[in-house]
Amino acid sequence: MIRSLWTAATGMKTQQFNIDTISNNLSNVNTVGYKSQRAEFKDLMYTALKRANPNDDNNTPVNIQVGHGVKVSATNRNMAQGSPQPTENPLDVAIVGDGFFEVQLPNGETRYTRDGSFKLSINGQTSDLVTSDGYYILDNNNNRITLNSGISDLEIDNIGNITAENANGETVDIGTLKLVNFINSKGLLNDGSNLYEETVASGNPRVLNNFNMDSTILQKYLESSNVAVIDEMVKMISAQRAYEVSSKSIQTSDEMMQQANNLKR
Amino acid sequence: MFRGMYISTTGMINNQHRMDTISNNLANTNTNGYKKDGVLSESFPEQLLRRINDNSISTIKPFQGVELTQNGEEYLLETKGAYFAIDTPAGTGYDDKFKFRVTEDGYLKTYYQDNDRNIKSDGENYLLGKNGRIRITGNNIEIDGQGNVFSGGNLIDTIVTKPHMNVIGTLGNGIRTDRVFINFTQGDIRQTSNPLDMALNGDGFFKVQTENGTRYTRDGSFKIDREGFLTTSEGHRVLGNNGAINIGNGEVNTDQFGNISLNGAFVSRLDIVNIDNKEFLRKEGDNLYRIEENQEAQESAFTGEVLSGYLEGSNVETVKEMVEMISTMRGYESNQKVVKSYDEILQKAVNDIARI
Repeated sequence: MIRSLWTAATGMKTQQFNIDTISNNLSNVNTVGYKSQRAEFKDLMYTALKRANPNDDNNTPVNIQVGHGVKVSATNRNMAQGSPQPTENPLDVAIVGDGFFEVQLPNGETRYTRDGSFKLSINGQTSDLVTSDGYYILDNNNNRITLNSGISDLEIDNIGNITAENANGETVDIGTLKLVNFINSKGLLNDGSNLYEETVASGNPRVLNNFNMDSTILQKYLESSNVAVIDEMVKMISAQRAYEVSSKSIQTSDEMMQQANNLKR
Repeated sequence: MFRGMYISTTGMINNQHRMDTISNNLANTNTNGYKKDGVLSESFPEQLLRRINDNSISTIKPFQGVELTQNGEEYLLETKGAYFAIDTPAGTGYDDKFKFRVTEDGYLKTYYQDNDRNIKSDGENYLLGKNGRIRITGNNIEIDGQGNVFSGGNLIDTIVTKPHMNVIGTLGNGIRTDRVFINFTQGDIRQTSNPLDMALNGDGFFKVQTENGTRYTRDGSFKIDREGFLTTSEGHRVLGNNGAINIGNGEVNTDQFGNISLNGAFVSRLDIVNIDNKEFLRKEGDNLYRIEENQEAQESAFTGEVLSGYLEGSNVETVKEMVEMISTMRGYESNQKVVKSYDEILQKAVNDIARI
């Protein structure tokens, strides 16, 4: 009785977590470059109520096993492509295919992002390419991407080379956006602010260049969130019902315990 | 008088086991590839009930012979005025009917059907003769009207127990949880569009390498570890026909036979097997199954299809489990009422009758 009570409690707790994940997806339905997450569950340990008896010539298998409920085993990130949306802003870029831009935090650490809504941060006579939070975007040589004053017509081609016209009307090379990917990009850690952090599980970043790159960079586009609202809604309904049904198990266990208690007047 | 109290208690304990299992099923309604558990209960062996200090005429009908009817592999023994002794895991019981089949090693045992409708006898009851369990030596079996068992022309034993004249019949001893069986029916298939999610349509299991040996799973929500191997969420490597599968990085495609290709080049074939002796599969948590110790998994070829970009949901049917839960709850309650009635009777016996 007590066992079924706790078993049902694990059911409620994991479905609560499921709803947490779904809510976060739905909140990020308009977040640039957001990748939806899915909670995955596995059953918990099992107890054998009947032990195998080696001296038993009945060949009786141990076959009274009772499970103890469910646990969250992983949150799996869906890395599917979000659709590129045109913005007409030359500082917006979207990655079509695998890959991440590299971002440098003020403390020197690196993070990775798929959010290409870049801005310019004015620094005296020059300006640097940064994220909305003011973190520097890095180029292929791990340097900041700096534009001198008087620059116009910024163009980014499909492998990330940035060119522009200077005050004399000449085309100048500004650098190449650094694009990296990971052997297991699902192992990256979400840091918030659309940033991902490298982990042991993700492996080390590998730089993509025009030899090994099958992704395309689109200027004047942003990658929209890949959350499918309908799917999330359906998941929400099933999570809510699963939550409810485990609560019914708790109620029933409670009533049975009450019955047992009522044996003694 | 006390006997009924204990019989009701066995009913309460059995309902508790049922409730534990139902709770676990309901907790796993959203677990990928989860297969629901069911509880099989069995009554304790029936005992012969005898009058004491009674010299009146026996009420037992005279012995009217033994009848054997055969239906394919299955036999039914019936008798009137006598009993068959049956050896069960919980002791020796008596009954005037016995359904059995002949096992590979010649015993006469009760049977059950597994998920694939195969008839199995492991952990079942034996028919007893005068010298213990009946074991046939030849390849045929004959039982005459007197209960003598012949095989290959030799008399093996006799199976009829003629009751003592004071015996008035049999009495049940309540119920026990006999086994928890796993119901391997197909769960519903859901689309996820993630190429590393794989669902099996049809009977079969993925094989997974863990530190404790090979395990089986129906949960195909695979990942890639930092070295590029296909793994489960816990990091156990998924086995292909040539060991672990290294995918690395690129566009992964899996066809319906489980052939995995990377950017169009064949990598490995998933080692998916069907298991013919599923009754020896045990759950061990983490969506993994292992084969019972001292047993060999009888693996055979997988005949279903692999669906990449899909996952198999849990096969728990919430409505059924809820109904089961209500009936378990009420069964518990009825048994509790019986125990309480006994308590009231006892109270009268102890407190009221002896009042002066």
